Amino acid sequence: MNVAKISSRQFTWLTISITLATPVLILPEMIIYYARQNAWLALLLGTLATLAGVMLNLALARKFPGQSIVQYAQILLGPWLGKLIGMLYALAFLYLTGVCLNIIAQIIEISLLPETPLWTFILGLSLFAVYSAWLGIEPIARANDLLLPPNLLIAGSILLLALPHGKLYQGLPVTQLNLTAILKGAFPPAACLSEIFFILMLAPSLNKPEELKSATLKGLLFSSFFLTFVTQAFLFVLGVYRASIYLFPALRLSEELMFLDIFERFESLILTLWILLNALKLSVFTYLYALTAAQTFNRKSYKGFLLPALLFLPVLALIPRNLAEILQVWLNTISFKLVLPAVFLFLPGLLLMIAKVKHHV
Amino acid sequence: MFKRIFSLMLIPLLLNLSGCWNRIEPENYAWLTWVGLDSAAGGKIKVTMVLTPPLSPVPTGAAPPEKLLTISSATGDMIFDAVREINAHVPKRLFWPYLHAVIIGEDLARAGVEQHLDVLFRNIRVRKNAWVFITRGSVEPIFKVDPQIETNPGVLIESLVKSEQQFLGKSRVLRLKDFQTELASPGRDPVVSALGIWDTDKKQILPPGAEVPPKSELALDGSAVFRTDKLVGWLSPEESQFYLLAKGEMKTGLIPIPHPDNPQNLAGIEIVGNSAKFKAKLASGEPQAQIKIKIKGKLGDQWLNAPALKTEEPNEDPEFYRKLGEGLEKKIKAGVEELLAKSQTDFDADILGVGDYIMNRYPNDWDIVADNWREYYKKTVFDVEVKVDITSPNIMHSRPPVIEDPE
Repeated sequence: MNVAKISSRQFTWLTISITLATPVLILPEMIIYYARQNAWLALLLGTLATLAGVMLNLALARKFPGQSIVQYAQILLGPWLGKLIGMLYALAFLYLTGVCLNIIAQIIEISLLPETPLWTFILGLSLFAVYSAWLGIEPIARANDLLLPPNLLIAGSILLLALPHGKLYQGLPVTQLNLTAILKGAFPPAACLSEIFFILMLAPSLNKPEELKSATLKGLLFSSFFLTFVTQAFLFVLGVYRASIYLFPALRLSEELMFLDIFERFESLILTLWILLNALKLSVFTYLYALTAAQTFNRKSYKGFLLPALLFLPVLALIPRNLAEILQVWLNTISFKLVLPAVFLFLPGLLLMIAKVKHHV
Repeated sequence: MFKRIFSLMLIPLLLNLSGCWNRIEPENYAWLTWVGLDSAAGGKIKVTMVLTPPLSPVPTGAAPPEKLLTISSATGDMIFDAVREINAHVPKRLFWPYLHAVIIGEDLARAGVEQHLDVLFRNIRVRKNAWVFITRGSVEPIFKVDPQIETNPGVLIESLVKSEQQFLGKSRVLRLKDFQTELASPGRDPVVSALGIWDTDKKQILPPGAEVPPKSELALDGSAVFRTDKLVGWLSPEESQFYLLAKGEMKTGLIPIPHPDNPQNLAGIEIVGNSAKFKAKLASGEPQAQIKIKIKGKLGDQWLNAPALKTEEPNEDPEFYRKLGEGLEKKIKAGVEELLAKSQTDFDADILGVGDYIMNRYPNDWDIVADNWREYYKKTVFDVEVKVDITSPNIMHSRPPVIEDPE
């Protein structure tokens, strides 16, 4: 099957977009809630945990250059078990897209358009995701080239503008550490960043396979650095209480930011950028779902699997009825504790062990 | 051909661009500029609002409406409840993003405000950058004022605050978001600006409960001190000055001191810059706080009633600057220490946030003192250090020249 090619820089930028997209709005509050001023340490620990997992994924990908996990799972485990793993991955991609879709729709509804029904956002975004997946990974990567730099620039400058309003002592690291709280705070970032498992499917699209490792690590480290910057900025500006009581501190900060005493309420800007970034993430995940499904069933083209996605994505995203359900059940429990550990650590670890036993080069 | 038909089919999509799902035209809004909160009979809460018809931000040629200040009020169990009651007689959509002032009455403030304010913090439409004020007595008279100098209520509050910050420095103006932070922290008690009414004819601040005269203006009148979320006392304008200096929040202000050359005369020092470094820690079970206040000032005014020194040469005397600075240092140090002592004995309120600092910097130490913080605060030892830098005597020499009598 002919796979489209992207350069290693595009690969890095895609990694940044995907690992930053959803977490940047919902993660800081979760970390600060537990780790308080030591949020940076929690993020550091979370990143280290993710780095260990990524090294595992990279070791596996290096053993089978030019192939995706679905393809070498079938080599290692035989066609039947391999296809089962492929289906698991396809479902995982579909599930994560659905969760992300619902979170975006709910956040728009809560903070921007409270009277608009949820299905309008969900339907629109699923159409967008499926259409861009239809075009392939190359256009998505090019769109990402256009969107990511202004996105980071504007978000970064808003944070920098807000910093003078902060108080230093609210965010300085403290020496009296509470280790259990930090470990609790390290779990959400580790779980969120482990969405980077998508490299197992996207690795064959890289035009220079030998740069896979550096491209992935660069992306991951940048995302983690940016998240740390964002979280600490929230602590400096909002303080522990306000940064942990509001669901989306980023929106709070950008709404209250006052620039030249005239400009206020930048939250629509931040939200727009965030939606754009998430639209890219949705597109990549939808594309990867279709690609995984196509490789599992040995189809020539992945496009046939996109039409069912157009049907299932909105249905999936409309099941969670409220914010508590999506955050506690779908995200914290199923995504963080079941799906992501399985596809990021357990299955790749298993395959790596089998590959070692079977002496694959 | 197919492409042409397809592009024709795209034209109806343009209809989407005309507006959103449920757009609301400006004339359907009533802009909310002030909200007054007061307690009512039966444990209820009374909400009073100043509503303004939408004004165009650009000159349209049309005359602005005669009356910019329309008042509505209603009571309810909660604020939101009362706000919805207002909609019973205001057939417009209340528009919160232009909120400028939240004014809280004394009775409500004394009973505790935090439980009532939730809707203001929770609702995304409410502007968190609005200013918070406390009134002596009921909020009712505030809404009876018919301001003459600035008629637009939104602009009025902003200019009141701005002039406070730029010229006066005698009241601690606080935004709603900062009020929320300070209410929530167990180690800090808010100090909030007090709003009063200036009687233009009698030239004084109207005492609480008095009838509002026809000629009156809004005025800031010192600050209100809270303990947790309950009002416990007031700071006079001078005490508020010391509070602001200790917080490093004063932008400008004038402080008169005895003249260094002759204590019968007065020298007014205009403060042009103020910063304060605050540090607190728990040393052998007792809280210690260190405040380093830095001030930049200019000689703003000399009141030479008694005979004063004159200069024979056109020199500026550095020693005179140093003495001026010392005089101000002494006054501010005494004032801040007195204020802090008062906060420990009279108010029993941690106005500078010693506990908050310890909670943020030394969480484990805070766990020890948290339950009994009030007692610990009374024992806190403050170390106040003031450093004044007099930069210039403005555009005149600091001492007048000797002019020979032409005989």
